Amino acid sequence: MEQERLGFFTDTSLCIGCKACEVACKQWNQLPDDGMIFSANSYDNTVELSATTWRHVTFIERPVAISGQQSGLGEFSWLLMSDVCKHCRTAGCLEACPTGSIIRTEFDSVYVQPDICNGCGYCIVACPFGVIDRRSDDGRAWKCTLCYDRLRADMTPACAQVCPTESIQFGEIDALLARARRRVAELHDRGVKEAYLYGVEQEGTDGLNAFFLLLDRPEVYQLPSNPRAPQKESASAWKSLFIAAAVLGATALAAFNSASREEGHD
Amino acid sequence: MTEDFLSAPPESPLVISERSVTVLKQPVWIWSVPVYFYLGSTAGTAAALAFAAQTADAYRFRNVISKARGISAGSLLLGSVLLIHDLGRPSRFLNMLRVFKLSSPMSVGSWLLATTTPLVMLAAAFSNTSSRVLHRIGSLSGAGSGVLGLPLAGYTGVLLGTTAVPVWKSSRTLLPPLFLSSGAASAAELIQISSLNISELKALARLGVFFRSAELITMLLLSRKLRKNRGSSGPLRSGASGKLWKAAVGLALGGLWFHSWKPTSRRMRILKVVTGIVGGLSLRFALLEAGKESARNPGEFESQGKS
Repeated sequence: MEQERLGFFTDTSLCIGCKACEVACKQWNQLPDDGMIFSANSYDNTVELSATTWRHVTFIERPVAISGQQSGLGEFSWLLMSDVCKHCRTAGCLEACPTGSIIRTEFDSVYVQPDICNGCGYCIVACPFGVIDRRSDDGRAWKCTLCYDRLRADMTPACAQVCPTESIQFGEIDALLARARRRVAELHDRGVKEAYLYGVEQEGTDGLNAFFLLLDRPEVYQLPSNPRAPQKESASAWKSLFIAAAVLGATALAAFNSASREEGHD
Repeated sequence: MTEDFLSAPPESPLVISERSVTVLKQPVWIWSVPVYFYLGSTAGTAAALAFAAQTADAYRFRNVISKARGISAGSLLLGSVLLIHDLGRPSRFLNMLRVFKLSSPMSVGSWLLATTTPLVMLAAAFSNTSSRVLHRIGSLSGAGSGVLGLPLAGYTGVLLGTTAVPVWKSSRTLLPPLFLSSGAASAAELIQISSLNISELKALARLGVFFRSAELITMLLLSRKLRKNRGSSGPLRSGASGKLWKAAVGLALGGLWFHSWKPTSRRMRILKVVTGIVGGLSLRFALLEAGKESARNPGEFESQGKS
């Protein structure tokens, strides 16, 4: 039987910043707190996705007018987004993992097997979104599992289950995409011309299984505008290595041969 | 039709200066990784030099062969320990050999390390044996480790280049030749510490000059590339990584200058070796530091694409 591809569509135009997704994720996955820091950064003391934060609600106070997101006086908009692992279709972390700990599941999600990971740290620098990280207390790499355990029990991931505004939508990718396209068209009709989809038909990752509806440039949400799985460019580095190695070998051989010949004639 | 859904509004100004823009995660690698980068490239090229000498004239270059194999074996053993020490779960280091993945330079490198180390140890053990059979085994292992040693010495450059970290990614074609030339220069200098005959000294002195020059040229090419693409401030140009990089360039220059002296005194040769080691370590630490700075540098944000 062909398994369906599952993922998230996060519609940021509906996010109210309640952080229920963060809490539900922590609770279900039994993740510890992040140290109770005060970031002095809007209503956001979580700051970023980490090894112990797999959903993060980003609060962005934008000094520009964005349709439907304005509040207060003058040109000011609230942008809220629940960030998560993108479960890239070509995933930098998965390609980089030397132990085979990071796998693609039957649901097309990207999953770190904790019983295999040896904490080499290579996935961390291979992720173009800065999602995956290593826990200092246990030495292994961790990130969103798309609630792999819940999926196997036919349940919805905790964050999507708890989201009160359906900003986080979970389901079969093609169905989500169709719904997302309808949503953008609807917003455009209502005059929210800024709305667009991020992570669909993205060349560098071949598309994200967790994609977003955004209302401003990706950088505003701390998302790269042109993310690429790093392995897509590694051929040039390998080529350079083999050319340099050939030159080195030939030079060494020539040096020893000529030294041998010179001495032979003396 | 689809373009309509996928295009971001381009006109809005980007004012996020007051936020700490955290884009990529910093590398978690500790000091032992750059030290391994140095040891691995020195050991791999030492094994290759030994094989070249063995091919040219195994009897004439017997001292070079045995010293180079010894240096290579020792460095690889120490390097392996350092790599295991860096792991979050050191007890699971054998998982590195659980799969073989061409897409992962770290997987390829683990296999290179795991095959080259025993081969070069065998070769080193049987360098000066009087038994014909053992000598033959030593020669064969020497050939194997010499061939595998070259990619082993340079895969670390591919490893850094195959990441999302902008400064590493944009240097990906220069890092492998940089590690190879730097390692080979250090290997040639290290072998010269021991007592060698005239032919051996001649060959190694030439190789030392050639590889130091190649290293310096590659460093200058890399500096130029970064300056041209990203200006004079940023990773490898300013900050801690900039200082370490300047030290590495200076020490490589100094090392090259030492090569112009006659290698008569043992003290002189040791000075050259120490300069090479400190310079080589500065180079690798500069690159790790640059990666840490680059991952957190908002100015580097846009440069994830093809460069």
